[in-house]
Amino acid sequence: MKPIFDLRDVSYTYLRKFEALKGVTASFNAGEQVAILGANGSGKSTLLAILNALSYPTSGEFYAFGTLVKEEIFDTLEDNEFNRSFRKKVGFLFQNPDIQLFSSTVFDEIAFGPLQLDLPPEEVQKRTEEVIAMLGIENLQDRAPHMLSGGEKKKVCIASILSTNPDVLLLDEPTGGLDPRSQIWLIELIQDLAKCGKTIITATHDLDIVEQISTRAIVVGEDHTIHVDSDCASVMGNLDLLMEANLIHRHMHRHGKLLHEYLHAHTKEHDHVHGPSVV
Amino acid sequence: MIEEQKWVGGRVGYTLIKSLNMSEKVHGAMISRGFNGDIKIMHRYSIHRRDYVACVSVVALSIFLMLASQNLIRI
Repeated sequence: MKPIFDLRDVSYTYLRKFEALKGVTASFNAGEQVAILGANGSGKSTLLAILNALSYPTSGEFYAFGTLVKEEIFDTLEDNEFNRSFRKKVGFLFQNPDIQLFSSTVFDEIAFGPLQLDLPPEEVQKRTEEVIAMLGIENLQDRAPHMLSGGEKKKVCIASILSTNPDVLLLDEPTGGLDPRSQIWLIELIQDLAKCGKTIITATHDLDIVEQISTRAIVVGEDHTIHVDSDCASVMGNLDLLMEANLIHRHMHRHGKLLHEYLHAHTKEHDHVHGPSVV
Repeated sequence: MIEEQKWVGGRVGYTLIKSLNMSEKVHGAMISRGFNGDIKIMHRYSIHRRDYVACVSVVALSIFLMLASQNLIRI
């Protein structure tokens, strides 16, 4: 099977000075759930921005759906087929909801995506209502997005992406800043979307959710290179690796019982990270 | 005195940089959802009778106020 995203030796440098990614080679297949793990500033968000064609590699190549992604294709006001189909297929959940929400009402916000993709108004109306019903945010639909609470904003952000029905979801710290109940709700939603066959790529440093929402994990180190690209269980079991990537700390670790009492993955729910090195 | 102005200037500049940064990101978010420079909206706006009524009353009120201010009509 051909990968949908293919990164070949991709590097990214901000302002020619600050390196954010170095020599990243990875590919993603359709229907995969991948977690990109890394400490703050390791370059996970940059990686997602490249996958969403919002940033372009300083060196190296990025192929999406078999086509080379170049700035000339995307950074233009002219309509072109690839740009349009890419935007339709890929949805990006930003880390900061305030960036993602810019319309005057929640309804307009959710309708924005399908409208840009030139769907007929009746279809837009229908889709928007469906997504609103699916996420249970009927009570918010006439409110202004910037007046909502953090959890509500996140829901609206997710709704605004789902309304275009993308095949690939790029999530940047999806559970960041959410209360426990909203986190569980989001995890269950991601699990449901995964069951529908969506490709889900999540950047996070929240190790508690990794095994619940992904089967493969990529660890980006603080040197901006990929350290490991493997299945989730083996990455999560490798304490030295996680310690080195600054994802766990000797004084802050997973406490099996506390964690697993509330979260329920539908696979591997009995796995524990518990070693003599973490006390 | 000059120190104070420097400080204020610095804050103003910094606020401007922050807003530019933010607007760039918001633009990125719009692009990510398929925005390509054309504004597409759902509602078709058209002129209703109430719009004509509003228009006429605003013009009438301004004329009345102008006449009143020139003492051409007495209230």
